[in-house]
Amino acid sequence: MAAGTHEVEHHTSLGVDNRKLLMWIFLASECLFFGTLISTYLIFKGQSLVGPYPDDILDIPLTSLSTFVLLMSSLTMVLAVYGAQHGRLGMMKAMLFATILLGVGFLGFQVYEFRHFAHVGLNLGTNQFGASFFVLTGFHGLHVGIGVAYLISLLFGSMRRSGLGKDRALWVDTAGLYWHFVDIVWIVVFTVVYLIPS
Amino acid sequence: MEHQASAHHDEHPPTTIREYVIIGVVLAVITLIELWLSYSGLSHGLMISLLLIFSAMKFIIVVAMFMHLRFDSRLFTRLFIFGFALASALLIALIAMFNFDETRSLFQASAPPPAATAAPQDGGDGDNGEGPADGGALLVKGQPVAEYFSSTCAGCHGQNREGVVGPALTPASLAGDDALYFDTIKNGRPGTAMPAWGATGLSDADIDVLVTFITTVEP
Amino acid sequence: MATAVGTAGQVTERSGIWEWMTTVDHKKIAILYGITSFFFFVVGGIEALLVRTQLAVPNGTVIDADLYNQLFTTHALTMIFLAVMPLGVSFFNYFIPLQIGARDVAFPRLNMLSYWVYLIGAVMLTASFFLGGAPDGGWFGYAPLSDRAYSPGSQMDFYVISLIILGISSLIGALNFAVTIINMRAPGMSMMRLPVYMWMTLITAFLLILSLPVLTVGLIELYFDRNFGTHFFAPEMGGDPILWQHIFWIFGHPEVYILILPSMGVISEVIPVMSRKPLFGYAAVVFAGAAIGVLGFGVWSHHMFTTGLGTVPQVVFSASTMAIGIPTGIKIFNWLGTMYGGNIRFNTAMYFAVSFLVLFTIGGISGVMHASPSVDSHQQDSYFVVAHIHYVLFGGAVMGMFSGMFYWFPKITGRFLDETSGKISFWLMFIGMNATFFPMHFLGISGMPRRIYTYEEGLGWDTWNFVATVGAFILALGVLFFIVNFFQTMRKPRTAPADPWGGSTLEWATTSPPPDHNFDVVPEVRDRDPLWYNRDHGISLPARPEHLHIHLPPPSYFPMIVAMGIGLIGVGLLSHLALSFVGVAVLIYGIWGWSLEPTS
Repeated sequence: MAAGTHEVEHHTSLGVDNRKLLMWIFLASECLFFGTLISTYLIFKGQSLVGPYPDDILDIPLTSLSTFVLLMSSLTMVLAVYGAQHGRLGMMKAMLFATILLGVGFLGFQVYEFRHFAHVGLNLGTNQFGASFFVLTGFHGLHVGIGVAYLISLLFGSMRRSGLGKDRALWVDTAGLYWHFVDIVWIVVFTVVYLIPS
Repeated sequence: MEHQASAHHDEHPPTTIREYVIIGVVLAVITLIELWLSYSGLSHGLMISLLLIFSAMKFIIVVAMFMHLRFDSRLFTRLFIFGFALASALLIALIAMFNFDETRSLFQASAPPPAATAAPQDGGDGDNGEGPADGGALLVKGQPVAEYFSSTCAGCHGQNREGVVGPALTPASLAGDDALYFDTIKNGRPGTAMPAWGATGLSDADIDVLVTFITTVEP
Repeated sequence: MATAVGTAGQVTERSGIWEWMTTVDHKKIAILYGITSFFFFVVGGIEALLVRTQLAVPNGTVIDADLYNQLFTTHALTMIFLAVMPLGVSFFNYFIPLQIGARDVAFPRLNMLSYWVYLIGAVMLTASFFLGGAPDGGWFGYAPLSDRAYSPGSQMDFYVISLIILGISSLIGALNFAVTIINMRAPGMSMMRLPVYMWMTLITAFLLILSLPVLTVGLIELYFDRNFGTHFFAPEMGGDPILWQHIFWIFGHPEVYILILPSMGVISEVIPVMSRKPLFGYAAVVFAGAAIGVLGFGVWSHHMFTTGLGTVPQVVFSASTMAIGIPTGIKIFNWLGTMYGGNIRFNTAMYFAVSFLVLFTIGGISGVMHASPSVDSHQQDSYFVVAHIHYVLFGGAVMGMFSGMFYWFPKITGRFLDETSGKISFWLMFIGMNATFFPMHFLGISGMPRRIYTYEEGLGWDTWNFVATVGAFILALGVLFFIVNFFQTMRKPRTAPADPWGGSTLEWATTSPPPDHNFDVVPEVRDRDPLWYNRDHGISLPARPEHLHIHLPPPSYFPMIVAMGIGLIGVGLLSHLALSFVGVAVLIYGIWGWSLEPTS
């Protein structure tokens, strides 16, 4: 959404870049988005009338692995930002690529998990757990997917002859903010949905 | 104008690659500890507190170091904290309102019966004395039956059992056989919104309590 | 008009329509917003007139119950989301850059995207009348009535999808405005030198940014309930209809302030200028506005007192609701204090501004009455509530907007709206509005429920209903006068000077209408009322330099394509999911082209 908002040059009142400011305000807004989804999940915790219940099917070791994958993608992302800021373009591209791979990996885990749940009889309409779980993690997954697309476009942009231009570090930094935010949402979701027993 | 554009480019966070990697390892280790915790069999409250503390640590580390809030404009920190705090406050308020039913039942106990219900003349006395007392003695799934009704059935049948989507469930309105009510609760009523509660883990004994409750206790 | 250098040359070569469709100039976008929202204001007004005609006499037969449900629902949705909010956005767009001394908003193309998405959402919502019926579940669409079981048609799907789309538009706009105000102020304009209107805009933007995502989640869950078999709000499977109410009102109550704060900002400009005095208690007005913004997130459950919240929540929300009356009261006294001892010019803009004070206070007082749960349980869902909301929304928000229209019309068009005709329309609207909405207090007290499509004779409601209907037509006549005034004025020559009112804020430092680049030289700000400071200290604005090298962003059609993508996704969710994938493809193409498009 925030991709490509390179506009007129202005002086700025606070010496911060408009795009970065936009991203931070947007992330504040996203806090409310995920806050409401997590509230819904917690309100319906233990309200399912029929199974499968969370304890029956949540696979904590597997999800820990996917959590690890997403955490590592945050590390590669910050290294890509480092590369962009210090002019180490090779490192930036490699780390962007690694981040994309890890993001796709996380999505792969999620697709597997969703299919598995559907297989053992948990669907959107099965019970309150199914509804709130799929909507919460599904919309998180959607955010990861958008993040992957965002990073792919940056990677393509950086491989053009003109590269990302003089604002290179800002582009990658702003994308990084989004990516890390999606990661910290998962930190909360992982704890609330998977780790805390019902 | 151009000097403005380049001004903030030079202010990179001072973190080195090595430090970033160490932070990454720390995050991974915390995740491992959390994983161990969730299998550790610690007491419920302790485990949840520890899990929340650890995930808060991860959260703060990512925000401060990976998202550079420690080194960046204070405005960003304030904006983000404002959004996060508001989301947390709303979450806590909602959870509180949905889960602490004492207040809800407190309110119900003192509420007068609605005019729609044909309340018997002794309603005034029975309402204060009988209702909560009986509701307290009879248990469904370990809960006082009135409370269970209030949180589970009242959505369709009304907080005062006066009937909303589903029919009224008061002694005055239930003239049929107890077995019919037992069967309805246990197996549901096909073609209507009434689910089969027997399939949801409600035991026969619990259903008996509910039938007694709706057929004998005035709301 | 397009005399600025840079790429403005290309623009003039294109045809008129294309120029308007691809413009990224905040002033043109503001005019697009203004015209579109006024159009929908008229549409919403016609819906209201139909409703009032039906209710004029007992056992009315003008429209049937089903159409009545659609009309009162779309009347509310149209007025709130398609008329009053975007009318506010129109003023934001025009005056944010002018008042803070910027050349444009921070993200001109996002600005245009916001307009296009708004237009698509608005058309979608209105088109539902011809595509199987308009939403008929009330503007807050309470579940389970809005669930598939009780609303089987596509009506509430239109509600969900168009509100999500309108929410996207508002979110984009609000993000853009917030960044612009925070980060693009003229040199010397510290936050505490911002015009009050800008402060109210900033608070409104943050309210939107923080409340819209909550509504979006609620709408998504409702959509899933209706289409994908979930039971978030359906009690038979463990869902909870009360959750919908919570989610809706967590958004819905800040929304009320989103509607009123812009108008409070407008009259905070009009009253000082027309009283020729600086605003009394600037800091108090600003902090009261901020307090309203923060407290506004802590009062939502007062809409739900009758749902059996429990004692503690009732006490808490009752107290917070009463507390929010305090900052509102502070502002009223500040405006009165500004007028006190001033050399007041009573022109039409001032008429509307003063009527805001009177009418909004009436609405505010009936609002505080609802803060008491025991009183509220008698007024809940009665015409008393209808009276309250219209006093704050029409008497407050709309009257404030009209004040702004008369105040800023010379700046925007270079022409003065006719004062005589303006005062006639003011009196018609003022009398009509009171005749319509004041009797509703009586109707509510005597037990008339809202949203009934007809009523029996002899319930004691006949007289006041008839009066209200007559009032509605007087009100409509006032609006009609304004429309005639507008068209007549637009045929007159441009006579307005740069600063017709002796204004204090920066927009009056440039020509009427302003050039494409707003200011030849960005002015330096030395005081809260920069132009008055300059006047009193004999400082003249710097002269236009010989060569202007101002770079304006080129027009772009990518916002339109991105908006079409979003619209197609919405249409797909309403009809065939496959269409949504086409929408995603269009969206990706639009964003891709957008980011590669050269901006210089």
